[in-house]
Amino acid sequence: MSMKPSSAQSSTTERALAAIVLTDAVSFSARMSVDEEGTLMLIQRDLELIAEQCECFGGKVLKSTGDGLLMSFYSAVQAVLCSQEVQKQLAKLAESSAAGESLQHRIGVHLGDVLFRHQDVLGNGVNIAARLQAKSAPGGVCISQTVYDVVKARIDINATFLGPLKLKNIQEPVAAFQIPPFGQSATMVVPQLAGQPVVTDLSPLAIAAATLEQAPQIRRIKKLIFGTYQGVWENDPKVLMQFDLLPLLKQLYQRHRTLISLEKALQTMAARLNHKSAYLAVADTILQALEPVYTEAEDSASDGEVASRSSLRDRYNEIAETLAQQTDRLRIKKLLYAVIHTAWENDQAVLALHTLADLVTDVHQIAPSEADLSYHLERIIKRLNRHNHYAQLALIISEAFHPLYGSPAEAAPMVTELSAEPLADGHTMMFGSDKPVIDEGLTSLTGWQSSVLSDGQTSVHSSQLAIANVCPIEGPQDAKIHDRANLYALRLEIMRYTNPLRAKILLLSTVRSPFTATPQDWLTLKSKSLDDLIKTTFQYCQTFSDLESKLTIMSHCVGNVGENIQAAGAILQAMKPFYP
Amino acid sequence: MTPQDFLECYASGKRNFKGFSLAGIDLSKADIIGSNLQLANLENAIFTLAYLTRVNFRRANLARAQLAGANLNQANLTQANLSDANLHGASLQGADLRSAQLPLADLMDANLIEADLRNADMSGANLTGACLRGANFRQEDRKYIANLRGANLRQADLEGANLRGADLAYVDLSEANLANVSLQGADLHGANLQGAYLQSANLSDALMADANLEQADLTNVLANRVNLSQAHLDQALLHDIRLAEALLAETSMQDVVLTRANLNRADLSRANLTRADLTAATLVEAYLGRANLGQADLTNAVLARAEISSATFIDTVLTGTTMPDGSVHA
Repeated sequence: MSMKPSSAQSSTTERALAAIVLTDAVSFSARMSVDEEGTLMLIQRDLELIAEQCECFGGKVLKSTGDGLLMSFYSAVQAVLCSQEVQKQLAKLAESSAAGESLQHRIGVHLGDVLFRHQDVLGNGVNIAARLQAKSAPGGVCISQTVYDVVKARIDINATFLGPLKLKNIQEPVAAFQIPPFGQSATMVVPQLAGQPVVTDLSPLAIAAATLEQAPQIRRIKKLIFGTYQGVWENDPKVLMQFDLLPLLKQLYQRHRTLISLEKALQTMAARLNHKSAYLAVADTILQALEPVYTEAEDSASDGEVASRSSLRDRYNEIAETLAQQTDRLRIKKLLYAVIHTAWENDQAVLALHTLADLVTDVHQIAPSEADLSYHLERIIKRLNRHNHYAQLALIISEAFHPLYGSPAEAAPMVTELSAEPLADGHTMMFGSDKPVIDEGLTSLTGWQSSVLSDGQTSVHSSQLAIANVCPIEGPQDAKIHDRANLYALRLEIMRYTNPLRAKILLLSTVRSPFTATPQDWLTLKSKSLDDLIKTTFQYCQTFSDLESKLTIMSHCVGNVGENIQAAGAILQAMKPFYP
Repeated sequence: MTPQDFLECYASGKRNFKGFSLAGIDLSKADIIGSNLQLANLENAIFTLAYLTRVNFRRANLARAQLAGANLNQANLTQANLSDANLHGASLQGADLRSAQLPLADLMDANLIEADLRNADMSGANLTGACLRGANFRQEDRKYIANLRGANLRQADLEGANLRGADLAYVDLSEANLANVSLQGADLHGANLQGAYLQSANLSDALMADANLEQADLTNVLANRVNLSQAHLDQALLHDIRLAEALLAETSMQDVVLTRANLNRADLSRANLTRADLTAATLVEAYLGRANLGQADLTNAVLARAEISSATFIDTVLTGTTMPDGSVHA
């Protein structure tokens, strides 16, 4: 392992022993076919994270496969540590993201003789890493026996022996081990394997999920849970496949802290469906499975929590009273009703059935954070005719709800608070946003697609809401966007702050493939002026964040990382004013 | 001397390599900041992406040297021989290139901001995309002007440069930034200025016969007495341009925008102004013999004492136009 892979600029082929790590996003193309932009955004974010970790552990990103990275390490220990850290970070990222706003990745690690050529790496060792990756559990790391033997003495890994695997296009069977996804024990991944220690500390939610997975109508169960959580009805099995039951249940449980609240939510959703009776039965099955989760939680709840719960009720009543004093309380009621039911209700008789206190309680369930509330209000208002009037009312509601969210000490001025707070806590409910709110029917795919919008986009809405009393809400605020027809100033900026040739290499690598200093690459670089490359980059990277992640990843893929990062910084700085 | 020897010398603190013979030496990516390489023979040397800040290359032979991406900021390159050198994407900000020999050099996308180019020979050089803002091309009242004959200046950024009287005949300046450039009396005949950006430039007395200025932006340009005969100006933007006494004979100006332009006493004989927008333009005493003004818009234009007797006016808009006899057209 002492041999060093050749430097980036060297054009010679060099044989070396290296630990090769290959990652791959699970069901990437399936998700791409459903939501291209959202999925691309996620993959860029994840690849950036992986590249960062790779650098941290002294590895080198050799190339991007589009939905994964090929990396090499001088040390197998570092390669495995890096892979584990990557999965850990990704799991944490997924936990803090809304359902459907994260990808799972498989990782394969192999140690073997490989050929380094330019920036690329070839050889059987790479092929084995690729095959192992395909055998890995999503969120896990599959390592070859060779890697396992090298690292087992140094790292405490809880890996499961998978036996000698027959890998496609590899002659000899390769013995491999599976490191389970972060937070899971080895047995959960490969339960059928004997001789492994059995861990039984399953949470009540995990048990509930396992129970439901065994139920015969699992597909309907999943649809109803997904529908209740996301607020959209999804029939596409390909989309549903992307979501595991357990995280969905966890999020549903977080939103509905009482069994009654959950029951109401499930039944409301079921009642809207064609197969109403069938789904009401499904709702029962779900409730039965989840009952132990709630009873256990109640058992462990301290008296203090009960007290806080009753004081919460008092606060709901206070808010209801504040709102009741408003002259326009009927419209406030309509707004609150719309937040809860995603339908616009003009019938006073229906509205009369709900007290303001009830509505406030339910809204707080749906919007556990201030950003959630603003988001939901904004979502409704933008589809109403009387934007400005309802924006005023939304502001009144936000103010009334304010004491519920955080202490006054933390409460920053409204605009900054809203725009700074990402809506990533799993409550970004998106209803068929293209449809008018009057339309009772829940949309399927359109709604889901828009639910993968970036956090940034949602928080823009909330900040717009905050300033709604100053200017109308519709349309994004037009910051001064520079004209792309005149790029002289942009080029001047780039040249002033970085080396023009490095800037060109980085941009060419971004829009084509990583620059490898071959005579052909130099010729290509000379055939494109900086101006041409900037124009192509604008076409290739539709959004600034897109550009940012692509350039950052590429900085790690082309030789001389430090200089590249500096150049990428200068390019980003210069190009930013040209993006909306 | 091998590259290793050289770098060891440099590392040990030696800076003076004056007159050394180092032809073909490979110092790519090397850091030899502040070295003295005066009069050194560096023919075919390789300095790709090297750090050469403040290096003294005075009268050095750098013919055919590889300097792509090299950092030559504040370097002294006076009288250096850089003919056919590769300076692609190099940074020469504030470098002293007075009397340097750069014929056929490749300066594509090079940073020449504030470089001193007085009397430099850049004939036939490739300056595509190069940034020359604040570069010094000529000394006032002296003849020592940079030689750019036959150079390629496509997409080059020359904003604010002083190119008075420069020889730019037949050069490619397409899509170049020439805003606020002084080209007074310059020779630009046959030059390619397609899509160039010339806002507020000074083109007075310049020779631009047969030049291509299609789609160029000449808004607010000062171009009195310019010779644009037989030039191509189709779809160019010429708002507020001052073309008094200019020679525009046989010029192709279809679809040009000449709103508020000053064309007093200009010679527009046989010019093609089809669909031109001449709203509020002044053409006092202009000569429009056999000019084609078909479908042109002359709303509120002033044609007082202009010679229009043999011009074509098919479907021309003449609302509020002051006619040669002083009458205002209905």
